[in-house]
This record gives sequence, structure tokens and C-alpha cells, in this order.
Amino acid sequence: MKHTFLAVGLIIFISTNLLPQQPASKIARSSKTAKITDEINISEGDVGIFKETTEKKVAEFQQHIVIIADKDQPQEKRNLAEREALKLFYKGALMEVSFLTEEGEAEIRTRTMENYLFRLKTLPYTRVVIKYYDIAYITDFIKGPDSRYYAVATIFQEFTGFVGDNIAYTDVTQKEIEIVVEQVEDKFYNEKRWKIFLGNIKATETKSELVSSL
Amino acid sequence: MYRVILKYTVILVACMLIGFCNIYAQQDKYSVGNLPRNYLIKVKQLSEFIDRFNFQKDFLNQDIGPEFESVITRNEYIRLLFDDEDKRLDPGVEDKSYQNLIESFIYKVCTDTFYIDPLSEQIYAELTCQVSINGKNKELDLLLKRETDNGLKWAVISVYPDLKSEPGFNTDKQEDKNLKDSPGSYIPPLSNETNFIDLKILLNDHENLNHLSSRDYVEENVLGFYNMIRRGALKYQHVKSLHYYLLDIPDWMMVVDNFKRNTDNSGWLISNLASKDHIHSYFKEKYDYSPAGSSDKYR
Repeated sequence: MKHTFLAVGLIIFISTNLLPQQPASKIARSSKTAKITDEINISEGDVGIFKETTEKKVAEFQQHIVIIADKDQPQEKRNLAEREALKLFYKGALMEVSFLTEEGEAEIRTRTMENYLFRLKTLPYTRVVIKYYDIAYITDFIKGPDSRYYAVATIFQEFTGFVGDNIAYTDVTQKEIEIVVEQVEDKFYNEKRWKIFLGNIKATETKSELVSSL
Repeated sequence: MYRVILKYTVILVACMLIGFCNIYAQQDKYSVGNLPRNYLIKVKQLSEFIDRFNFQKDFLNQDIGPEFESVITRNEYIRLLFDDEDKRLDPGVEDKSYQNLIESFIYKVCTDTFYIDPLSEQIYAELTCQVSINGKNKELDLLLKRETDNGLKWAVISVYPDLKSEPGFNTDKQEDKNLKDSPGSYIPPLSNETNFIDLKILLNDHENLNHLSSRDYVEENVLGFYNMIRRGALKYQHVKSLHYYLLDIPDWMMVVDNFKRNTDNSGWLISNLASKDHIHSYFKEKYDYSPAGSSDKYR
């Protein structure tokens, strides 16, 4: 009986799951929390713009990464991509990478974004292929005490490093990218505008394979 | 029961992906629908855990509507948030007390329609940090709490061990240099989702450490911790592991941990469920901290 119910449900769901849904508003809050929520939340319109811009910036960052790592591209183009990628971030953003060592122990390394992108350019492979995806998950935008708004987006990347025609290393990395929205003053128009930056990134190898030692 | 639900969820998601890929697959751009199934089902962030617990978002981060609800109930969806490899959930285990506890919890949450507030102040994070103290590598636990302070932030509540035995330990309070609301002077509201990388910078800003504390009070052990950083005796490196304690559901406490494995049941999941008294006594014993609302015996 349950099988039938689920099967029918599945068919209905598959046929309709791509239609836009109305947001559910089910959070029951106390009056104190509701007040806090009113103070923190921004308008639906702002959120829509923030999310759209975030998607563009994250996609732009991923495209830059592909070019920076691609040894078939001219050096000048790779350098330009590196500079453009850095412009997406606020100053001082860090990249934390966690991975398993050959002994199976978890290790964490933190680098500046400049250092991370430079290393990407100098990887010891003759060819690098990076496959990337759209944002898999993004949080709501939440206001911090400094009036900036923050969100975090999750993306996945597949990395393959070749030596000659052979795959030397491959992994799938999950990245959490901090998004920072702040108001900046546009002196020309004498008005304040929202500006979106990428921030710190946490990268976690979810599956890796060293095909041959280099 | 748990495995049956998981099986059906897997079928559901597989079908969703087929529908999604057919429409959005493009030559050069990969939509999330092309990701392996387990990456979509995995609970990737604490915020996603809360969205799913509240039955607000599906596996593709879309708002849940009647169609999704007709396939999977909130009751079943919450069950997927428990660590499925917990030995206490084995069907053959003799002691069913944990399974019964989960049943009671889910029944209460769903029948009384309880939710976790995404801006909750009832969420604690326990960080095991790699530090060096007087040149020696050590681990130090920090207890952080979400707090509203003209916005949302994380506040350092307590430190374990308390460092009192370290040479030169003192609890003198020193004033910060920067204004409290200047950028980068506190722990941002979603810093937890990036493993608190911000602490790498914030705990090296010796002149503005007090901003990292609660607006209401600062424990002596936290003042001592800050002073050791100021003297250069303690150097922070990174967070090694992170646990969350969620106290939003009356009388209950959920411990949420990151399960790193390539299965559908992975990411941020409930590793333990207990009464709220349990966590109050744990905080009191380890950190000498009593959360608001704890009974008098822990104060």
C-alpha cells in the first residue's frame, strides 16, 4: 500500500517539481524573536538581487579558476584571470583547505587568497581539468552587527591533474564560500549602494585519488 | 524503518534529478542536477540542516510545497537528519531506548509544530582548536553562542581548559581600541559555515579581543585566554573539529556533527539526542557556564 502511495506521489512530484513554489512561512517565533527578525531581515527584492549577483560572482570566480589552472592558456591570460579573481574578494580573504594525508590523517591548511590562486597557477601537472557546478546550497542573508549582510554558498568542483595523457590526481572538493554584502558610498551619484564581495572559503576534499605519485 | 525511508528518498531524488537534468543540462555549464546524488542529499551546512528540520527546503534547496509534502512527510524528513550508522539505531539492537527517544522527539516536534529559528540564540558551537601555548602544540576547546547585538554574531562564552596553571595567567580586563560596530571586529553570523576561519584573523588582532565576547558578560577564563594571546604566549592556528548544540526544542538538546563519508546519510547530522538538563550539566561541569533557562541546580 505504501509502495503504491509513494509511486503515485513520485509521479505527481516529478511532473511538477520544476514549477516555482511559494515560500513556506512556518517558523513560529516568540514576540522577542520576531522583533529581532524584523531588525535583521531585508526586503524580498534585495534578497533576490543579492542572490542573483552572488550566483554571477561565484560563476565568475569558478571560470577564473579554470583559466588560471589551464596550462594550455597563454600566461598573460592566466595572470589576468588571477587579478580579476582577486577583485571579487574583500581584502584579506582566506582559503582553508582540509584534506586527508597519505597516512589517512585530516590536515588543515590556511592560505591567503592571493597565495591560493598563485599556487593554482603553478601546480605540478602538464594539464588540469576543472569541472564545476552551480551553487548547490545558499543560506539566507543575515545581518551582522556592522550592518553588513552575510551568506554562505556551497559549490562542488571536480579536479583532474594530468601528466602527459595519464591522470595523476583527481578529487571532488566541496567549497563553502562566504558572501559579504556591504553598503558603499557612490560619490559620483552621491548615494549608497550595496556591493557584494566573496569572502573566506572553506574547501574540503570529499573524494580524492592519487593515481600515480609525482 | 530508517533504511526503508532512506531507500525511498534515494529513489525520489534520483527521479528529481532526471527531470531536472533533462531541462537544464547544457554543454559547457553543469547544473547541480548533474552532481552525484549523495552530494545533493548530504546536509552541507548547519543552515541547510535547519531548513530541512523546519521542512522548508527540499534536496535541491527549493521551497517545499504540497507536491513534495505528498511524497515525504516532515516526520520522515527529520528522521533522515539522524546519523544512520549510529549503532543504537540498528534494528537488531536489544536496548531500544534511543530509538524510542527519537520517536518521542519527532512526535513532539511534528504534533506540536516546533521549529528551529534560523536566527536562534539557542545554538551553541563547541570548537576544538589547534593552538600553541608557550611554543607547545595543544588543543583548546572554545564554547561559542549565537547572539543578537544589533545584528547576529557568535560570542566566545568559555574556554577549556581554563589555562590558570599557565605561567603569567591573569584575568585583567583591557579595553579594545576599535569601535564595537566597526567591520571585522566580531565573529560574523555565518562564520560557523566556513569553520570559523575568521578566528585566524580576529584572534591575532590583540587590540580588539573583547569584541569577540558576549554583550552581557565575560567569563574570567576568557579574559585569561585573551591576555595570553596579547602576551604572545598563545597562538591560535585553526579549528580541528566542530560540534553544535541546538536547544530550540523545549526540553530537548540535539548534538549535530559533521559526518564525512560518501553516502546519502552524510554531512551535518544529529549524533545525539538528550534532555536539556544533560547539556546544562555538561556546560556547567566543563565550562562553568549556565545557559539562561537552566534550572537552579546548574547556576
